[in-house]
Amino acid sequence: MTRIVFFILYMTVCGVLTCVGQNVTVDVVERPAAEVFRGLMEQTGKNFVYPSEILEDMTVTLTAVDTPLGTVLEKMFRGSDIEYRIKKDKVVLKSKRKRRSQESVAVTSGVVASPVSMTAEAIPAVTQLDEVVVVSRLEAPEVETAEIGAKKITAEDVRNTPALLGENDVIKALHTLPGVTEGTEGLAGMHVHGGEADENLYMLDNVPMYHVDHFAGLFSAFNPDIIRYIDFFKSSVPAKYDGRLSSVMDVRLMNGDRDGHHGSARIGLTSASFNISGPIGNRTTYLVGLRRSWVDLITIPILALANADSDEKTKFHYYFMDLNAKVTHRFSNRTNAFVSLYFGNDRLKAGTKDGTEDDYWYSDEEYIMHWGNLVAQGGLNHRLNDSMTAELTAAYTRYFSTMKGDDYTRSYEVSTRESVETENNINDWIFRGDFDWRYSDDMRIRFGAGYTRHSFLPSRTTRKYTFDTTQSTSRDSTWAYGADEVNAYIEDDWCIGSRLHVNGGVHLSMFHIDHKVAGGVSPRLSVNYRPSDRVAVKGAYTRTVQYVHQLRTSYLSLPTDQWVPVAGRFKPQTADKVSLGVYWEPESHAYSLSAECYYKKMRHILDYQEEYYLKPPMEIWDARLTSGEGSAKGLDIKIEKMSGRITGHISYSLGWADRRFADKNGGKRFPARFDNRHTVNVLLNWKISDKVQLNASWTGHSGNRFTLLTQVWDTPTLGMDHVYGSGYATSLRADINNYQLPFYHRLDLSCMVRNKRGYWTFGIYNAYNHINTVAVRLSYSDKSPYGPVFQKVKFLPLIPSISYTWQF
Amino acid sequence: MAILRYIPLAVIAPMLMTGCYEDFTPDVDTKPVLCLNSMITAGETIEVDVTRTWLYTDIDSWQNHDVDDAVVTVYVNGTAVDDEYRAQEGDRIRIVAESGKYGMAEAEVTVPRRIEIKPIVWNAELTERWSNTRPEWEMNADIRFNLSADITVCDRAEVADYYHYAAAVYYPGMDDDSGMLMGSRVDMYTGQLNYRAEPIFSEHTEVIDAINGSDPDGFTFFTDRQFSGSEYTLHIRYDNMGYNVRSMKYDEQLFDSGIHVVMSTVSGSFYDWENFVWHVNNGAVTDIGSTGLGDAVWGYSNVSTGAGVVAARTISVYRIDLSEFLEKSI
Repeated sequence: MTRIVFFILYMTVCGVLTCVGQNVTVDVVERPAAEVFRGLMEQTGKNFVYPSEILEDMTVTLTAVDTPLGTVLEKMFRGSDIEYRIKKDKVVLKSKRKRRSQESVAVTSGVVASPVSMTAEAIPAVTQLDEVVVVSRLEAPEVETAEIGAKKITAEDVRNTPALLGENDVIKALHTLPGVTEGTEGLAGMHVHGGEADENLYMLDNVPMYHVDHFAGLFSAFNPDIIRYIDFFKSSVPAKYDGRLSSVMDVRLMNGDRDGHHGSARIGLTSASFNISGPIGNRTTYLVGLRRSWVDLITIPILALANADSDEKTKFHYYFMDLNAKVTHRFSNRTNAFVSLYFGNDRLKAGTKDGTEDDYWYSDEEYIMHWGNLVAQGGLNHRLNDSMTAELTAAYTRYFSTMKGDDYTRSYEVSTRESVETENNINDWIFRGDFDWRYSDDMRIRFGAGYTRHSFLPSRTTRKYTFDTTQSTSRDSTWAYGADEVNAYIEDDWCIGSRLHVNGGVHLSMFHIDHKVAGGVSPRLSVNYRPSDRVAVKGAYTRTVQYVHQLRTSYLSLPTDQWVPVAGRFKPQTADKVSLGVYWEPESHAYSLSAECYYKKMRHILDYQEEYYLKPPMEIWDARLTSGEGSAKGLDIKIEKMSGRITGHISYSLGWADRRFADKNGGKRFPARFDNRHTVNVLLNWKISDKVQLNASWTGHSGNRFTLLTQVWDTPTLGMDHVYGSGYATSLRADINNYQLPFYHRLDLSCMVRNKRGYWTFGIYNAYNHINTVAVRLSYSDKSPYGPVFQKVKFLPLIPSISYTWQF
Repeated sequence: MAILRYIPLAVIAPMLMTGCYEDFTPDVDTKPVLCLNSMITAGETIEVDVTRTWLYTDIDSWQNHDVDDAVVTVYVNGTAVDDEYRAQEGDRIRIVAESGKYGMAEAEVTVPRRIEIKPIVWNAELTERWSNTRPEWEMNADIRFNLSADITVCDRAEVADYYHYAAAVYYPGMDDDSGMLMGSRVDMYTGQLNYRAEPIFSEHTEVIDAINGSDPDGFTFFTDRQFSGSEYTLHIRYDNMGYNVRSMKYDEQLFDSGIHVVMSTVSGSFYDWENFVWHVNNGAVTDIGSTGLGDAVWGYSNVSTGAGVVAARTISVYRIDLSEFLEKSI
């Protein structure tokens, strides 16, 4: 009885909050219900979830001004057998009749539209227009959009993708998509259609971020607990976006909750997070999210114990954290504004201390690495008139990396101190205006322009050496660059009749650096022809231009990686991509089937030359690089089940990717590192009950390419006192990526168990413990017959995880 | 200085700890090729070591990788020369080796020209002195001192020059195996070259090496990239040099000691090879490459087959005479 009373009370409070907090404006005549939902969705941010058949042939005539959502829905469904329930972020529609008959129904998220009518009572005249709410451009089913290879990922999708250590991650969720490959196993690198890791544009609320990895890539910088959705484009890219060759990922954070103060707290094996959002008065909302690793809470006492009985004290302290804060204010139904801040950083401190200052010998060495991102932005969304909205953005994005080392040694009275400090950072000031013009029901034009002031400091290293009282200081040549980037775009999304949908546009850009100006013209065209309502045939052409490049010395994501502008003798990197796709989705929207093929040609791409490390760093940096070209082609097939207790997808990718550089591999073409010929991804989400959900992700792909040095030669004796390795043999060069690692496969499982206050997540990474080969090394056997051997380097066996999320 | 020691602790080590290694034989085709190694010194005859490459796991070939059918031809400025020829500064030397079994290999190098250095300005500072007052020894002392020297290199603008600095002590009886003169004994040692006192000795290190704490000690090659066509003064400092003398009779010739400064110009191939060796022993890039977490690093070679190094150098020797300082200090 208490539960029933509580439930009724809860529903009442929800209803009141809903009615107070979610006013909407509607003015439609004989419009499909699905279209009306779309408008409501834009105004409220809530998804409409319903069995597809209950809206069959429904149209709506309704006028409502600044009216509670509940009232509007009440009017819409009066007299029908549809009942609604407004939940936190969605509106669930059900058929009263079917509920009575206890039939199970297929539930889909999205909108359908068909003609016939239902008329609702008119509510007073229209004087105000729709409130401006930013929603994903990928809300509509895949068969309706013009884009190819585009996907909207929700926070739920991220939660439902099993991950290493139970740390759900946006980028790891994308790894399950066809054509997307992870970098080093378990880490958050992303390679799209044979591209490189720096060819993905990562945006947080429409502002670029450069370094999106924590802990060498084990986590990305995007806190999954406060994400609203992610728009991801891997084939055709809308004209609004440019700047990276392979993909675009725009992560949108949740807005503050208008209905009340809600949030969650999560603790997992390696990190914990807390987020809360709610209203501040009637017009303002806030959102705060904090995530921090907590492993240091364990390492500190462990090290204290370990150091207790040792003369040499080890120092080690690592953490990462993310802070997101966002305040949104609604000036009127026409105007919203927001300010947001993201600050994420990693800090690693390590060292040893041997002896005490009173001893005759004493040493103290300490190293600190500190890197991260800061993104601060303010935005204004304003509806200019009935059909046009504007979004103005001013933002500052900064990536920084500082590494310091200090080594002090004293023996009797003689002391030495060696210190090194290196900096690497990028600062961007961004100003942009984006406009969205609904010219007609069939045409939507987006256009905008922006200016970015870049400041690059790829590297500045200072070394100091002090011997007793004498000190020497050296500083590497500092190369700092300022650059100006101006861009403008226009994009037309046009439904020509009921069968043809065209999205065309162009993105223009200019990059000014070192008194030179480079220009980029990036035309975009995607066409969707629908021979029937359920089938779409799409074609697209996309050109992308990239002006910045990341120099990496390893396959890990380390703070030593440097972002540098494309300057000097190099031209901006470009990619031309042609895609074709066929899509099928049945009337029930329960399934979808897609097949996409692509061909991508990349020009002026940059990479280190062979043996680049032999050129001193103070050499003009571009002397260490070489420019070349690459290509990728392939086929992505995906079958997706979108409703029912079991959802998920199975995908298969067939791909080729190669590179050619004048100064690498003797100028010969070679396969890219992620030239994975066959890739299969399976993601299944099984909702066993309202309380229990099982998620499984299996991936299998042809092994990555690897440069295996098989031969050796006599190490010369040139009169120096250095010894190389064993002193006898030196590795002979080989064709780049000449060896394919064994087939890679892995099963990850997770299980979510809900209770009253939240949910547990239990995970198993690599469930059947197949330890995959990630590299091959040359080594010596420690068992008979002793001698030189090739060894597979294998990582990551079965790893269980557990986390708990408390929701309030 | 080695923070990257701790990055593995934090990042890579957990994965390595949870990972493993497995011996295997890759299915790869390997075809041995010729390897040429040669160190050409101006004023000396040219010797070439011709061997072949072998599969890394082929233990028999580790023991024997000689080539018995190779024919080697040395061309100097386009003309074949015999084995009596002595290399000259400025010679463009091409070595060609041909083998019926392993094909052909060739490499070319130019013997660098000698460079001019200005008179060495040096200073020695006595730090410690010990002497025996026993009357039967007229000379019996041991001193410690620091030596600093400014060596100014006059670089040529027209070519890229590579340099190598080295030094060795000289003292009476040095070449005598026993180190003993008739009734006397002299010993001298350089102590430790302070590599950090001269920043150009670290110019080859990466940022990642600096953070890694890769030790620049032992590497005294440098380029003219920072002073092409102008002068550069090397600041050389030896800490804790020692001189020890014991003699029944006072003999001022026993002070005839000092340092031979060897300032060589070397070929680019010599510099690159030594730079490669430094990176293999100390650099972070090769460490990462050898674990499979970065691109593989193979041996530097300027031979057409990718195996071997043909290098050249011109040696100039200068003297720092410490006799006066030693005599005063004893």
